[in-house]
This record gives sequence, structure tokens and C-alpha cells, in this order.
Amino acid sequence: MNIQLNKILLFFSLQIKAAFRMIPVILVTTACFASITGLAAFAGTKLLYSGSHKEPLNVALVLPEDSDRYTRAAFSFINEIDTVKSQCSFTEMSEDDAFNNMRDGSVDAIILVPGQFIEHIMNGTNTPAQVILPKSGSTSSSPLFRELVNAGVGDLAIAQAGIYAVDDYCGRYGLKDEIAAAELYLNDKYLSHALDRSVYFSKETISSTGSLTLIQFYFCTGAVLLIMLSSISCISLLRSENSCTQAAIKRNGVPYIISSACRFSAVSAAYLILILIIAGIAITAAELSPQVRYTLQDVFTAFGPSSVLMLAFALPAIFSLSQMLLSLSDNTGAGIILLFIMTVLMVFLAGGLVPKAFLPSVLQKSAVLVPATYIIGAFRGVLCNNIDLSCITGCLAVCILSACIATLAHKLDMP
Amino acid sequence: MSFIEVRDIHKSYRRREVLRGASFYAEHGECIGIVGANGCGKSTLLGILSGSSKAESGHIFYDNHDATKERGTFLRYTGFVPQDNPLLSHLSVYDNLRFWYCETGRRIDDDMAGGILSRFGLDAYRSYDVSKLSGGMKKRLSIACAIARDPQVLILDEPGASLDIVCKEDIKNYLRSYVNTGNTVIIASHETGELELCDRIYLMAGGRLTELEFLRRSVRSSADIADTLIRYIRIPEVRQ
Repeated sequence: MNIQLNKILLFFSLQIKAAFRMIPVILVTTACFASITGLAAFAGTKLLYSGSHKEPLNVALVLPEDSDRYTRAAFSFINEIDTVKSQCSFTEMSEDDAFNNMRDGSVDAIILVPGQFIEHIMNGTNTPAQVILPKSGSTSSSPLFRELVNAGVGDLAIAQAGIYAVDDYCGRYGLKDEIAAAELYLNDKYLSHALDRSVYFSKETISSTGSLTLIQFYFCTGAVLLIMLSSISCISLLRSENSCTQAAIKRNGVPYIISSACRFSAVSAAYLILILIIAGIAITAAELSPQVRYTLQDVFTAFGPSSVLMLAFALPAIFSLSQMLLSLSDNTGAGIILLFIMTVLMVFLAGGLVPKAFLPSVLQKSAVLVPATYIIGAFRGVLCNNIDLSCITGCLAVCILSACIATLAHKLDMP
Repeated sequence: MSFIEVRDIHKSYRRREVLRGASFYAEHGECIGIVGANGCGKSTLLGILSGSSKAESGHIFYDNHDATKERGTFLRYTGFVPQDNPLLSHLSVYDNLRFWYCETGRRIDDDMAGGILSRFGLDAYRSYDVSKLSGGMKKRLSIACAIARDPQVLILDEPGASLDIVCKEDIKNYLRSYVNTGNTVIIASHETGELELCDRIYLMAGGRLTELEFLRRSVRSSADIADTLIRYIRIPEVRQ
């Protein structure tokens, strides 16, 4: 075979030139696919989570005119507790306003706090606070609020019983000087433990998305899907126009496997430059705007030289794979359909759509054979600025295997 | 031995034997025509003659060099214009020429200024994308790419198909001048206008070549070609 290095280099430079001239087309196609993907994600999110989010219950808090600072502090404290805050919104108002608001439906419950409420708790008088619920309306909210109040009352009852027991104990054994310190200690323990139940458990976080957040996980999947599908815009670059052209290129000293490698490498180079430009713009925007910075921090743990290196391996793997799939089909239309189906299937098998932990064990084990596993892995490295050697090796293997399969398909198809 | 000797070429494609011992010869300054029904193996033979594909058996000699053993011989002696234009459609005319002119020792700019490229009218289209060219300009560019190495043998597969009459005439005039300088042309065609250029015409049927001796330039009349072709290609054995 008449392989000539100068011609290969010239062919590669011409392919790079052609790929860079195609950047506007690539951008438009990617934007279209991004819009479609975004729309689907938005619709899916709405479908999954619509109706699950409810406005918190509006609770009117009517404090006595002579309410002491302990009572106000206690309710203010309760209102700040996460479990309460997620369900209730306390608003202090007069008794008349509270009842008027309940009538017009803007208040779901009223708490009428008696005078010297806290003091009575402490001395055992225990004047109850009245909780008033509407006769009609708020049908689903009222039982919920009742449960919440009962749980709170239960907590307080236990705390109170504990305090009385300590008081009695100290009184019987002549330790009256210790009562104040003991009550303070118990108040602290009962309230903090009753309200923050997590202290009872040792926590270990196990995530199906590995070290990534959910946003990062789906960002990786989305990026791989988007880039693979946007390679449709580069079909004319990735596959030869016709068999005559391919034969002529080979005759002129550039074998099929090398011309294929030149084609997908050139497209990868164009995408790499494009992504780096976008990353540069994003980094500049993050420097100028804190809001952009916080948004980007949700996705990118870090972006640096290792990210660029991982991209430099992930992109050729994507485009060699696309090229191989396109070369397996006789015509462009069939190639696009095959590319679309195989892309979605591979991303699914790689655990990109549903985390691998939720897939059947057979599929989990077979993920090592799926090219998308290494490509998605490489994109994780891009987000975290990490070098993952197994993913780099996997991406290289994908490039070589894809080029070999495409060459074989070409040889079998040749007259 | 003749300048070109093709002996007993065999080639199968998907278990179908397309060429079953095709043989012919050609001399310097000769134009050889190959005719035959659609799908008879003309394009396969031309692909083999240009080195684009390999024969399963047989020998091809160019100036006593066995090209089937020294593959470089194909590139050194032949230029090939296949039926579909072998062009990189996402590149400009100039960039396509750069690829084919690489390591030929010729300069595109010289050929654009009064050389073969200006004769084909390509100088006015140098910055055009190939995808935006007309069929005639694409064919001219394909021929320009094929002759970039100054080959002694130009192989063309139906060069005039679907081109307008002016373009066909331009190509014909160029081929006439090419042959007159002592080069050899091998052309597969159904166009009587192109076949009129040929000194000898071979009929391909059943995977073999048979020279139609009564169509030699020295004995034929111009009306003979069309009549003969229609008569022969209608024969069922020839169409197989």
C-alpha cells in the first residue's frame, strides 16, 4: 500500500479546515437538540413532580397582650424548626384578624396562646393553648396540622414529665440548689433531641450517582447524548461522500482507516475548541456575576487542565463511535436512525439515564462492555477536573475498535 | 509486449463472478472504448485497472511493469475518473486540488494561470465549495484531479453521463488532445460522441472482453457505432 505521510497530514489539515467551517452548522444543530432535550426534561419534571409541592399551612398565632418574651421566643423557635417550617407558616396577628382571615380562607388554623403560657408550663399549671381549625375547607390541611400539633404536644409532655421527675427527685433528696441547673440541662437535651432527631443516628451517605450530585450526573448524560446526536450535523465530514471518493483517497495514499481517523479527529478538534470557547465565556461570566458562579458551581466542581485532557479523549471516542454507526448503514437516513437508537440504548446501558444501581445485575455487569460507560466516565472527569486512567484507556479502545469495525464494514461493502 | 497488457482478470462481488478472464491490450496514443450493458462489469474492470480495487487473479502490465505485484505502478501510470466524482464536497475547488497536487511537483497556481485548470475554466471557481458546483464543473474538476500527476493513461468511466452538450464537447476535445500527445485513454461509455474518439472498441459480455474489430477507426463509418451498440447490447447473452 502506498501510504504517504505528507498526504495524510494534508488530508488531516483539510478535514480540520472543513470541520471548523462547519462550526455554525454544529452550533445550530446542537442548540436545536439542546432545546428538544431541555423541553423533554422540563415536561418530564413537571409530570413527575407536579402536585407534590404544596404551599405551607398558614397558621395565625394570637399571643396574649401581656405575653412574656419566653412565649414569643418559644414560638419563634418552633417556627424556625425545619420540619415545622416545611409544613407551617406562623404569622402573629390579633384575634379578630385571625378569625377574619380564617373566614376568607387565607388562614388554615389559629393558635390562641393563653397568658403566662411558658410560666404555667414551668410551674405545672399547664393552661392549654387553643388550636382552632375551620369547620369547612382546608380538608386535607387540617388533619395534617392536627397531627403536627399532637406530635409537638407529645414532645412537650415528655419533656415536662422529665422535668417534674427531676424536680421531685431533687426535692426528696435535698438537692434543691441543683434544680435550676438540672432543668436547664434537661430543657437543652429534650428540646435539641426532640427537634433534631438525626442525632440519634450515625449517618452514611450512599448515592446511586456515585461521587456526583444529581445535577452533575444528568449533566454528564445530557452532554454525551447531545454531542453524540449533534454529530448528525457532521455526517458529511464523518463519512465519505461516496465509495468512489473513498477509493480515490485510498489510491492517493491515504488508507481508509487513516482517513476515518482523520475525519473523526478533525470533528473532535472543532468540538474541543468550541467547548473551550464556551467554557472561557462561562468562566468570565462567573467572575463577573456571583449568580452565574453559583449556578456553575452546581455543575462544575472544578474545570482545569485535567478537564481538557479528559475532553480530548472523550470527544474522539464519541465521534469514532458515531462514524462507525453511520458506516454500518447503507444510506444517511438509516444511519441517523441507527445512531439515535444506539446512542440512547448505550447511554441507558451505561447507567446514564437510570443509575446503574437500579438496573438488573446482568446489565450492571455488562456495562463494562458498553462504550458509553467510558465516555460518560470521562465527562465526569471533565466536571471534577480529575484524570481517570480507566476512562482514558476505555475511550482509546473505543476509538480503535470503532475505526477497525468501520474499516471492516467498508471492506465488506466494497465491490 | 504492448504498452498496456491486461490478462485474464477475474473478480467476484458477493459470490457473483463479475469478471471471468477479461483481457485486452492498448498502445501509446490509443483510445480504447469499453461498451456493454448496465451492470456487466465495466466499472469493476476500470476500478481494477486504476488500482482502486484488486483483482482476484490475472495480471495488468503498464510498460512491462506488473501492477498487480507493484501497486505503486497504478498511481505512477494511471489517472482515474470514476462515474461518481471523487471529490471532497465540503472543501473548496482549490483545497481539492491541493490534495491531488500534493507531491506531484506541479503548482496549482501555474496551472490556473494559462495551464490545464484555466482551460477547464476552474480558475474562476477556485474558492467555490465543490458542493455548489454544477455537474459539468465537478466533472472537469475530477478530470483535473486525475491528471494532476501527468499520468500516461487516463481511465474514465462514463465521463459524459448527465452533462450538457457543451461540457461533453469540452471533455471530448481535451481527450483528443491528450491522446494526440502520445497518452492512452481507456473509456467506458454509452455515448456515441465519446466512442467516436476511440481507435478500438471492446464489448464486455459475460465477464469477458471481445474486440469489435469492424468498429476499428480504420474500417468503421461514423453511423456504425450507434447501430452496432444497440444491436449487440440487445442480445440476451450480452445483457446477462
